[in-house]
Amino acid sequence: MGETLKVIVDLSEKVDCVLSGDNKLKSISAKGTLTVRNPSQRNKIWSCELQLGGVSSTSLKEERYTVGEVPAGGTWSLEYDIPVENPLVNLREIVDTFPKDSEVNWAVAFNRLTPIRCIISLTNPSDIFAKNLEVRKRIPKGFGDPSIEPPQTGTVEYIPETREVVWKGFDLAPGGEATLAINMAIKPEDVKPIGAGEVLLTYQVTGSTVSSLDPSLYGISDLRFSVEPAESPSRPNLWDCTLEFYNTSDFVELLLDVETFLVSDGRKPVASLSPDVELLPQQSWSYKFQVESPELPVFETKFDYMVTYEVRKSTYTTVVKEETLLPVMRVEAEKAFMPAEVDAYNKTPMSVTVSIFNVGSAELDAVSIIDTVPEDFRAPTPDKIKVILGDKEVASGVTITLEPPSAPVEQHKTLKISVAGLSKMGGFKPGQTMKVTYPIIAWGPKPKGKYLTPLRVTCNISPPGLEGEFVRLEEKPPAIEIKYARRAVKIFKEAVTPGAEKNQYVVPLVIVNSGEVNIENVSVKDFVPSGFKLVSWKPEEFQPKVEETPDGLVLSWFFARLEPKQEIQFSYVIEGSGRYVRREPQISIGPLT
Amino acid sequence: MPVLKFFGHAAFKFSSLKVSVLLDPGYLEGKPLVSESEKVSVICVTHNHPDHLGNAARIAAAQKAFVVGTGEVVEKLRREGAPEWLLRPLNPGESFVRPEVKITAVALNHGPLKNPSTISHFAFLVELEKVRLVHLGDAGTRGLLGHYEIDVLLIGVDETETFPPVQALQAVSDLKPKLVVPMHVRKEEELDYFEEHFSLMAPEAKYKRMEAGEEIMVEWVAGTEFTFKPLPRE
Repeated sequence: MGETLKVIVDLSEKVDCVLSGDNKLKSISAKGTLTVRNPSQRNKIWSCELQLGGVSSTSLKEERYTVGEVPAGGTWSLEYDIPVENPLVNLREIVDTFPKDSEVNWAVAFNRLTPIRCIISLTNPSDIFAKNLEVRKRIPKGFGDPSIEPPQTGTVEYIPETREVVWKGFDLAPGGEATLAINMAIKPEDVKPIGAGEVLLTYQVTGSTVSSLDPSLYGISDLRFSVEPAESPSRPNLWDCTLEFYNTSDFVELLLDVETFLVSDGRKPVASLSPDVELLPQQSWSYKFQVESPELPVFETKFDYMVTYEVRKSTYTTVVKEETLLPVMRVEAEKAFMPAEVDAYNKTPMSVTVSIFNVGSAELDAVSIIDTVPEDFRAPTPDKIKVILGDKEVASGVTITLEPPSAPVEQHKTLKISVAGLSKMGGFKPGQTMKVTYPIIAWGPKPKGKYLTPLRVTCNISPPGLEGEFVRLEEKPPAIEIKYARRAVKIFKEAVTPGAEKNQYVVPLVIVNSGEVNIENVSVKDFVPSGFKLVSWKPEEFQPKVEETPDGLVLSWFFARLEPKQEIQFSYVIEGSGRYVRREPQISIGPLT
Repeated sequence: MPVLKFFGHAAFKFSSLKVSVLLDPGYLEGKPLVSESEKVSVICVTHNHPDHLGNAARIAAAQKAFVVGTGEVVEKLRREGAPEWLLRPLNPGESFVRPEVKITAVALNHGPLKNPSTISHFAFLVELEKVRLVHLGDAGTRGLLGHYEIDVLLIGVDETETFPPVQALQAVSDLKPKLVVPMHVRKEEELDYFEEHFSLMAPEAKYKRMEAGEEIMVEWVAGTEFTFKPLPRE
């Protein structure tokens, strides 16, 4: 007793799909193989013809193929391509570099430990059941070992040897969804974009193909046929005839049509049947009829049958999602003062230029400069601060704050310049330079060598995540050099001489800035003994302020500023009796105003 | 109300309805900045350089305007044919006074400070309808100007002949004028630097960059607030 077999018509199709790092369909292709498989070890099949419906869904041109003979255990194959637009199951991977907020961030900060959260989601929008899904996610070196959140379906494990997360053992019903969350972290030590690891998805669909090929196979195999006439035991020349088909193959055969003629009587039809009966192996089918014939009747029989077949369809899909590239944010900065050195005790306008270089691989949206305006320097007003990106001035999105807001000049101040929304003007691209310029005024700096101006720069993308930092100028601050200039001032009273009138005396005074720097708010006092009164002074603008004291008059003059080497001569006339007791004038210098 | 008109370089006219004071009507690129037909009462020339003295002799003769200046300036104008009766040499600190105007000569060295010219040089303080205007000429120092209250300061920004921008800013900061008008500008970048730092160096002062031919009206409103207003161009 042989097996009960059907010829197999196997449609196996394979879809290969590649998604880019940002989940866009990069390429997709599908190939199919139609195989006529003879599963019998004993019986060949022959006269096989293949009829195909739905060839327009493939690269096949013909609807009919002559397969011919397929030996026992043999196969016949036909390959084709299938145009396809989308895979059955949608794969999407979101790599978020700032999981704290709801928006997806896409860059990492140089030299900062950055948490990364990968969400792999699968959806099946079709009405076909996807089976045996398996997802493999590579965890690149540098990301450490991942922490995997248990999925709602399937099993997941991390294989340290291959650095792969394997999620498998689940199906996805029509309309179904499945999600896997993986947490990891990286501290970038290079500015090249960092790959977050590829994702490989495989799954099967049975009973369905991408193409709509519909095969029909006609073929035959071994069948034994006989017509047995036997004269009736009750009446001569009457023949009881038996028409018999016997399936000698391993296949289920289908007997379709039978037509038998009596050759000895001018091809008279004696049986015309359409039994449409399936014959299992070693099963027979018979039909009995009688004919009248004086001699042994001779028959001719025509019949049609075929081996039965089974169509098997399956699709195997592979989706490769390329690794998401995470650009690295990194900026460097330089700060320059013009002039680089200023005089002590003087008021000197200066220009500050902060150059910020995008030396990373991320297009930046925001930059913040936390700068220092040291004590004894006047900070700029916001309208004086210019931000230039490339060759364009950044006109909007610039926020400027000074802490404390109304700090006096002798106090240390923090100037924060935040620039946001750069993406709207094309972004701060890698390789570009941003310049921030503003004026400050050295307002009588002290001769202490230098004033340090620490500077910190941060940068970010849109939407903002963990910001990039540049702190070298905070740790080694740029300095404004102070040129020491000697201060010296002298005042002296020249010889008092008699005036034009009797009892009058002319008192000449000379004040000289003999130092190397301007001096400001200079007060001069001279003393007039009691018994004398002030009569006049020269030049006329040099009217002294007069204060009466028990010892006499105190005359005072105020000079807003004396330049180096400047000498001022002035005099006053007093009148009185008694002895003029000479006292030397006094001088004092006030702070800058 | 006094009106200040700019002719270019260092040439200004400061005038009221009754008197007009022309300051430094020089030559620029060989051409006079001020027409001989310009109505003026007094001409002030800070020093004997062509870009400041210019055609002062002819204007004086045409307008019968007094000319005040240093002895060198007066001597030069005399040689150029200015009527003797109009020439008024001043000593440092002296004033030329008329009922409507007082003009005081302040001796200041010609700039620049690093390489000063030995030419005698005045700045002028013009007091007209309660407005005190100082024209610094090519001064490179400030001398005793700190003793004066100044409403309008006309200051050179030119490191080759007068104040470099830094020193001009320091002068503005110290002299504390109400309004500053730059002049004698040869390099735009110097003026850009001056303008960039101006409000930080002198936050209380107003600033006006005038174009040649432009006029502004200056006044003390209610005696307490100093204002200026551009006048429509002729």
